Amino acid sequence: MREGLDVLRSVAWRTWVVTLRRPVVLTFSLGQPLLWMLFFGFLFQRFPLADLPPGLSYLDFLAPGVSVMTVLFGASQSGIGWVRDLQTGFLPRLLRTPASPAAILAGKLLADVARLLLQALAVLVLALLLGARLRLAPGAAALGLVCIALFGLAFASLSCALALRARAQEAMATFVHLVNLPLLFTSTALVPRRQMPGWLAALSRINPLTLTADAWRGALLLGESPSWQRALLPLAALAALLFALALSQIRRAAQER
Amino acid sequence: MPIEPSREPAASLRGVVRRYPSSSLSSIEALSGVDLDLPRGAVTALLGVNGAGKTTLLRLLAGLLPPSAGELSVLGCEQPAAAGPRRSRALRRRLSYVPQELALDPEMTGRETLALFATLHGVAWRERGRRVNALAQAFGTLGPLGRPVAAWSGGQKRRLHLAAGMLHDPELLLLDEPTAGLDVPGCDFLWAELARRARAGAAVVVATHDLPAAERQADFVVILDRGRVAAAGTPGELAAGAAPPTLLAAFRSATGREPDPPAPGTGGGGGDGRRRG
Repeated sequence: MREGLDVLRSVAWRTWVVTLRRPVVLTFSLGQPLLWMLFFGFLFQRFPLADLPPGLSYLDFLAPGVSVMTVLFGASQSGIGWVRDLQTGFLPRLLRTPASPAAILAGKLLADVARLLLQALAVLVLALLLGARLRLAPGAAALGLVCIALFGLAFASLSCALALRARAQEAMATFVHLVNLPLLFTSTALVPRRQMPGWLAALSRINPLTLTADAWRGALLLGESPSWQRALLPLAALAALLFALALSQIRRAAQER
Repeated sequence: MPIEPSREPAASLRGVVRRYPSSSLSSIEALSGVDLDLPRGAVTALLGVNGAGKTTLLRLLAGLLPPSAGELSVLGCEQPAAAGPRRSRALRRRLSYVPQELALDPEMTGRETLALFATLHGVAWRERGRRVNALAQAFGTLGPLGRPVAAWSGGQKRRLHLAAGMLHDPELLLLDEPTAGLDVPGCDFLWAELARRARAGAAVVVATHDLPAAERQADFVVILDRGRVAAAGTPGELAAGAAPPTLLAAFRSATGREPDPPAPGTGGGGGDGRRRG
């Protein structure tokens, strides 16, 4: 057990070191949400926001949504590092050691989820600089961060599972389009549900991005704690499911060293 | 160094066969009935032309592949034939397989790389710093240890790649073409380190095309040809049975082939091997 934690910590540390030495990824992950907020924020200033109390602007509405969107896009990057590590033979070599593949996976995901939380918060700081207003309730915001972490863990796991399976950059690019964009456009991250046609609104209710965006927005704009049934439990279940998928993939990869 | 036949071998193979599927109907036999005992406390050189089965044999010994048939025992643990359970984690702690292809992360520094592999091999925290320094010194890589691997020369990367496989002091050390891309001092560091580990009791197995180096440095030589052991013995024994009495002549008579030239950059003196023939 102690040895497993040792492995987890070392792999997490290594993941962070490598992320920081390639700052391009981090820069892009802040540049992109900035553009979304500028374009969407100023393009749709006059969206009637029937879902929210009066006095809130579209930019206020958008800030938590773009924050969650950044987590989704950042999470899908997670596997890209491993595609590279598969190509250099580094990951297979890690998997030939006596270390448990589960600890290696957990260390990698721990580092990535920490990065995603920082990215989510950095987007909020950008939004505040652009003039968005938030009502911070510490307890609700903390539980909101738990939702973000679970959501990030789920999609970082999916990205790693796909990287281990496909082993190619092209597959990861496809993943971004096949998973991220449909999730984004059937969610309430950018658009309030009342503005959606009926079928889209129905679809958005089962979208994990919606669950996370609604929880994060409720926490940041209204000071509402995320709901167990509508956010924390389903997100925890999804994270557990996709982590199990990634675990099965890394165990398979470990068999094929 | 004399090899004590009384000691239990590090690995023992009886009629070991390994097939690779080449299509749904046929398969290629990389090893066809290998009988071999690999001594402890000795450096064993594994010779043979490309495709003779050297890498397959190393991967079987490392537990990365199960044998298709036959009996294989590694460090006292039976390795079941295909589809059996995989080697235990405990066995993985006791051996090391260093493939020919470099497997390093260019973004990490040398020290970070070694520390990570020490942790993953379960080297105790207190021990790590000491082992990393000792190995870096043994391989002459102390200089660039703090710089990312991307900035290292090919030979330095090769040394780091090798050192990363030795941090846990394996009882069985399996190296595939370790001298490829190494300069002369690098080769000297490597053979000296391997001899030191053999003296300390480890079984070291080196697949190489470098016959002259094998003749000088190995305690035991195995010549593979077409998936079988064509000859095995100490370099002296093998050379004694050949005319002229060299390992090269023994290789030719055992396999009926010319050895492949050593990989470019090998500093073990591959050239004089050809001249000697």
